[in-house]
Amino acid sequence: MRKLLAVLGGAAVIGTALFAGFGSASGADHADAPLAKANHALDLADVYAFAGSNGNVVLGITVNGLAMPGDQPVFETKTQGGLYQIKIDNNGDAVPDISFNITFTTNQSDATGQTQDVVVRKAVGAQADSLSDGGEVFMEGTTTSAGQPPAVSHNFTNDSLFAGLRDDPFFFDLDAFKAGLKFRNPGVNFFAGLNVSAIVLEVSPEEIMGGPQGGKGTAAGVWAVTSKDDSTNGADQRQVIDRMGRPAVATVFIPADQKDAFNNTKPADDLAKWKSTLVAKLQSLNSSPALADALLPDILTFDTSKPFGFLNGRKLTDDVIDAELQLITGSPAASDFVDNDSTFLSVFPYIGAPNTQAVAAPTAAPAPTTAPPPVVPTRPTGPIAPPNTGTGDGTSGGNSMLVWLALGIAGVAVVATGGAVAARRGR
Amino acid sequence: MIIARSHIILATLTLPLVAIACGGGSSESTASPASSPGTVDRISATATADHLKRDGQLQFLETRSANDSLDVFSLTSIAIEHMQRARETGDVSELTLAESALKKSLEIRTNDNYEGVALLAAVSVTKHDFARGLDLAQQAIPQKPKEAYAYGALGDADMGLGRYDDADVAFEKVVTIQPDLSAFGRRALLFTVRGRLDEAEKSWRDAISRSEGDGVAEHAAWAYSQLANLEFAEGKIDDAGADYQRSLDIFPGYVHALAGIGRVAASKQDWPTAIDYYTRAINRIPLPEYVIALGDVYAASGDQTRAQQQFALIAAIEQLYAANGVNLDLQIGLYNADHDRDVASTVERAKNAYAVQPSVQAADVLAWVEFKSGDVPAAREAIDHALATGIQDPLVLFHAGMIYKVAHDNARAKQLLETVEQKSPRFSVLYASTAKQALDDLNAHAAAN
Repeated sequence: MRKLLAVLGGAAVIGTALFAGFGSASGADHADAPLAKANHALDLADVYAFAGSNGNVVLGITVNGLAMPGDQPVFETKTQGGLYQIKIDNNGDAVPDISFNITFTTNQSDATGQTQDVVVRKAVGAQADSLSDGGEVFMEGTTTSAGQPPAVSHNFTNDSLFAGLRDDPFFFDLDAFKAGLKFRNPGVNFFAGLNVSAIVLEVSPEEIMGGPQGGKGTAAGVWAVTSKDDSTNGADQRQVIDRMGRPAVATVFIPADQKDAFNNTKPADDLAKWKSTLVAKLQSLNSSPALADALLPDILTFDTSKPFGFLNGRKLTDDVIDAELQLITGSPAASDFVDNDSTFLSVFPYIGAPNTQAVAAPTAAPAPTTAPPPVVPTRPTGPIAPPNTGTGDGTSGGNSMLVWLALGIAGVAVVATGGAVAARRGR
Repeated sequence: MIIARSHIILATLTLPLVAIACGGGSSESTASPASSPGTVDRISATATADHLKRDGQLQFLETRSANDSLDVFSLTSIAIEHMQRARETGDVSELTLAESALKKSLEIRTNDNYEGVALLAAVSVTKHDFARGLDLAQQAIPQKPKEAYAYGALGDADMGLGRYDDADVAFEKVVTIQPDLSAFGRRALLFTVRGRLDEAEKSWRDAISRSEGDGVAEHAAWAYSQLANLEFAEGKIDDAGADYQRSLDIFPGYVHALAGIGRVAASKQDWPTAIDYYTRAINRIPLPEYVIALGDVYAASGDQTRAQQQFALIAAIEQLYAANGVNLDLQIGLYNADHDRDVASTVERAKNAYAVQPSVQAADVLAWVEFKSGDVPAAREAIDHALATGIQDPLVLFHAGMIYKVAHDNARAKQLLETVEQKSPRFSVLYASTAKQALDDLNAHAAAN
């Protein structure tokens, strides 16, 4: 029941067959078939990079958001042309030096339910900078079906792999945002109770910092690219479906009709191709154009010699929405009043177990604020729920959550001139 | 290439359920002769697990909705689930629940609520309010012009309104954006109306091939039943029987598959089997067309008492549908004409229906009602509208043949009835023998002259 629009309404059933032979083809029925569920398996939700055990680095991506309790994890198969890549730049040139290329087999049934085999290949050098699924086999494993304990695989260097359903770690009062930035205190985490399909790698720093390109030792950047070789489209070539580094950044600043072009740009070309776009947007938001140089290329950077936490990588607990609200408004008090409500694991794969039943009560309220939430000028209500921080909204016409976020924030900023912005976090 | 994010969903519905009596949700184990018991058990177990999962998800969404007055996602998702249940069970009260959720979602988010508007368009079309469906679809499309869903609803509304060229444009858009089961199914229905049956059949097979693995068993079952309907109309009775059975195997207890097997049996005058399957179908949900069909089968088998018992249900069913906002003007009009009931008032009703939704189906019903009322010129005018698209449905051709015969256009009547006899001689329990007799009369008349 997840991808809703997927299901077409029921004319077929309701109608009465007028014609003996044509049954549902009769006027009554003109039967719309149910739309097949749209495939969101390559739609990136979030990218994470944080410290694992023993100095390791955890790289996680989530896809196929909005899964409800009872749904299974979904990964596009290699047979269907699906490819997931986690790209690493370890010398600061925004060109991938390493790419973990992840593919999945078709579903198979075993005693624990439906699973897929996973293969992670590690490509380096020029091969890392392509949409190829090649490279040396780095790790192999099996997905974890819903309701099963995490199936964790290791390779001989004791790196770890997990792929399967997890609690969506992202938290945001999306509905309040879309209601016109009517943030509530406490807010309601839209993602509470919902699951995602997650791919998590934990690797030793040497695996990503070393390498033929000569890394800088402790600093690197990560981004995810999903692509599909859709030969049924006639074009025998792989197309990027989504790419993402930092949460939301691309989505906020890139107009909907240019999302495809953006997704198909390599980060190394981001500044040349997209800086002017970002500058224009920043100016329209009364933010500093200089931020463009910090936001591009769209890579989630981190330095293992410093504590992880957004903007140094991204931990599961990081409140990236508040951080971005604060960044854009310049107000340290900006907030959607939603905190992490997930229970994370202290061990790999870290992301919490998938939700199996009805959503929990709304998150506990932070301490009361002394000032009312920000009042936002009247504006069109938000878009239809891109429930993630990724760019997965594709080109579906101007409905980027983050555009709205940015616009809304701008509104807050205007109201807040003079330092009166309200929203104290109270903690 | 884009992966469209279409999220939808929810609603807390405590609307009074106008229950159509009958066990909608349970998974009846309809053992299919063609399947091994093991296969059936596995399929039934899967269906049961699916029901449990969906019940749990609906509860999940209702809880979400109750806990967050701004939650549009859950309302949209709830509506979709009720729409799917309406498909699967035929219970029209599910549509009322879906509409209620959608209206609530549109109250929360008036603008930029594509899913709310597009789904409401689909619900309207399902209720046969095609004008409203058209209007809503046209409102939705500009919000997300690259999404297929609202184009589908638009084309469906066009079909109901007899705007076939517009439907063609809308459906091609759907096929381009999202070439899935729904897209090819719609294209098949349009080909059918236009009498392009080979293309229609191919489209159904395209639809079926794309239904694999989409996670909803009813989808493929629906497509197989639709293909079977087409094959039945083409006179390929055994092919139709096999595809109804496939549909039933995929989705045990599926109303349209059960009724289809009943229809095949009835065409072979196997009354016990026909009665058995039609009864199983309406025990699941008493869709009016199958209640009427069962009555007709009882009558054909000589059991007038049970036939009248079925026909007596029709008025109550119509009231129930009306209470849920579903318009059955065409269906009831055809039923009345076939059974010589309330002909005078039915003429007015059919005229009004045709004025509002001038589709091939409405024209055909009006023609048949006018024929029964004795207004031959009006019947002929209406049937010419019905035939204009090139439709090859044997019932329409039969209606046309009978009308041309009373209009003394014997050559045309003969041609039409010959087509029926050659291609689909067993097209109707009610009229197969009538058609043959009429053709014999025409041939005798021609010979005498």
